[in-house]
Amino acid sequence: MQRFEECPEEVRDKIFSYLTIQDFKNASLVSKHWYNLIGQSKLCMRKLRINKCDCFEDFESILNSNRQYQHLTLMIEQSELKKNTKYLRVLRDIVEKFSESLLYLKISQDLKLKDDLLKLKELQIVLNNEIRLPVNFIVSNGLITKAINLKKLLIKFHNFDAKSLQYIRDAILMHESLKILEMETHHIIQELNQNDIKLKLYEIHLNYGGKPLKAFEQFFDTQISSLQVIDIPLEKNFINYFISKFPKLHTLIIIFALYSAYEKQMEQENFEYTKNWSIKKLIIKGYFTKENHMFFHACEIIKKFLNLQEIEFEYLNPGMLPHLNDCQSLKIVKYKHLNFKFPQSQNDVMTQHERLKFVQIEH
Amino acid sequence: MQTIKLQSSDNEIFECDLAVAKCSATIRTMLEDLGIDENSEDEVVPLPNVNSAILRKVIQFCTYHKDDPVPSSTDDDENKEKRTDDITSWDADFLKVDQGTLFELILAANYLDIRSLLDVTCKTVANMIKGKTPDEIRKTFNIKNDFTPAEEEQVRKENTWCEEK
Repeated sequence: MQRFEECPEEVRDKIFSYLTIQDFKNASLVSKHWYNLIGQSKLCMRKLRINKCDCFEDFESILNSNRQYQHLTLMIEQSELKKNTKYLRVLRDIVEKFSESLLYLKISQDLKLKDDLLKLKELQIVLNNEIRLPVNFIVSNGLITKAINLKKLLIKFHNFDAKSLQYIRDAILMHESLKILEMETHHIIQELNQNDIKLKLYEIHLNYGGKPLKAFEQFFDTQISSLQVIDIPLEKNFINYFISKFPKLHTLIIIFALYSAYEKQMEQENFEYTKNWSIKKLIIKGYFTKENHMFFHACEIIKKFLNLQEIEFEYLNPGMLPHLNDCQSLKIVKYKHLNFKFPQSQNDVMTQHERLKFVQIEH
Repeated sequence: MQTIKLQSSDNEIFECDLAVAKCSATIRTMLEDLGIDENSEDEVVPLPNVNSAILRKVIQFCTYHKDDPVPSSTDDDENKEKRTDDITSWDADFLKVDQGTLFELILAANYLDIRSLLDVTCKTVANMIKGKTPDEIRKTFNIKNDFTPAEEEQVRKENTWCEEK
């Protein structure tokens, strides 16, 4: 007699596709064989994820599981993680054990480590100034080196010294597949004595001043097409610097965050429009409630981009609209947050700004 | 009306409508790729993976469903909760068979690549698991619980870590 267990895998998966997570749990309790059928089905394990695991004994018993987990969220107190190396040992064992199947790993509220040793597409390291260890841990234990298909790396941390930078740099260099690098730091990166290295990145997000870019510039090749900067430095020629550095730059995202960064009047000769600018899309984000220096600074920047195709505002101050040049496509998101009466509708905007061909407003 | 001869694994020959036989993507491909002449009276399509009892059921199903619209493949999205409560009463009656026959029908539907039959048989099996306790599932499928109490406890514990957020 034919039995469920003897069905080919694709048929079992088809049957599983009609079931819920609770059904998978119940079916896992039927027998050892059924437990393995569920635990080794990629389809089931995409849904059956460890989300609530927060004590050390449980972390250890995860190691006894025969399920091929793809998603693990382990809650570890920061302070514990810092003082107890046993956590690091068990973490490493877990990563090792599920290295074939693991796609997503998140550790605690404050530290997220998203790794797929071999298949992972995205790695997220979020550190606050308390935790330094994991970055070292990740790299020194060779976790990053294994994630050969890494596409995106996100690093946020506040204390950014030469040593942690070295770790990050090593991590980045091991990944030819890396396309997106997002970095956030309050501190300016110190010197780096590395040469002959180029990163094939298409997108960089540099938060806090964009200054880290200069420290990293020797690693970047010229393919980068998207760049995000927070609080664009007022120094001379900063925008020109981006543009000369990255001739393929297509999208520039500028986030205006700190009023105090713009107290100084922008010098007119700061940067000049050049016909060769490749930037076609500009995204401006900022809480422009008043017409202050920050507002004027943003207007000044908008004015300089003569051959933009698309512009997008998050929290638009309508006072900026007259500064648009020949741009034909406008997108406005979250404008209601600032309580400006205008614009009411797409048509309103389009009648006042005749050159616009496409307007999209999202509240 | 054009007919075609199908031969089961136990060498029984079934003559059925060509349109009915073509519910099976496998048979369609055989006819096209292998150049079996649809008009030839003597040509027989061998189906070595399907016995006569099951082939008879399959032909009965396809005869009833031959004019159904082709199901769209858009419901393959696995994130969407798929329905299992939409089995028609004719299909439900048709599938009132013992479990062995049900699984043989599934395998035949899989081999012959008859999407509608595979869908409805898999849904029927899914309904035998859906919303049931482990013990009910064991009874339905006649399975012995071979976990030791400690092993069972480990699985239960593992399940609690997998709560939905």
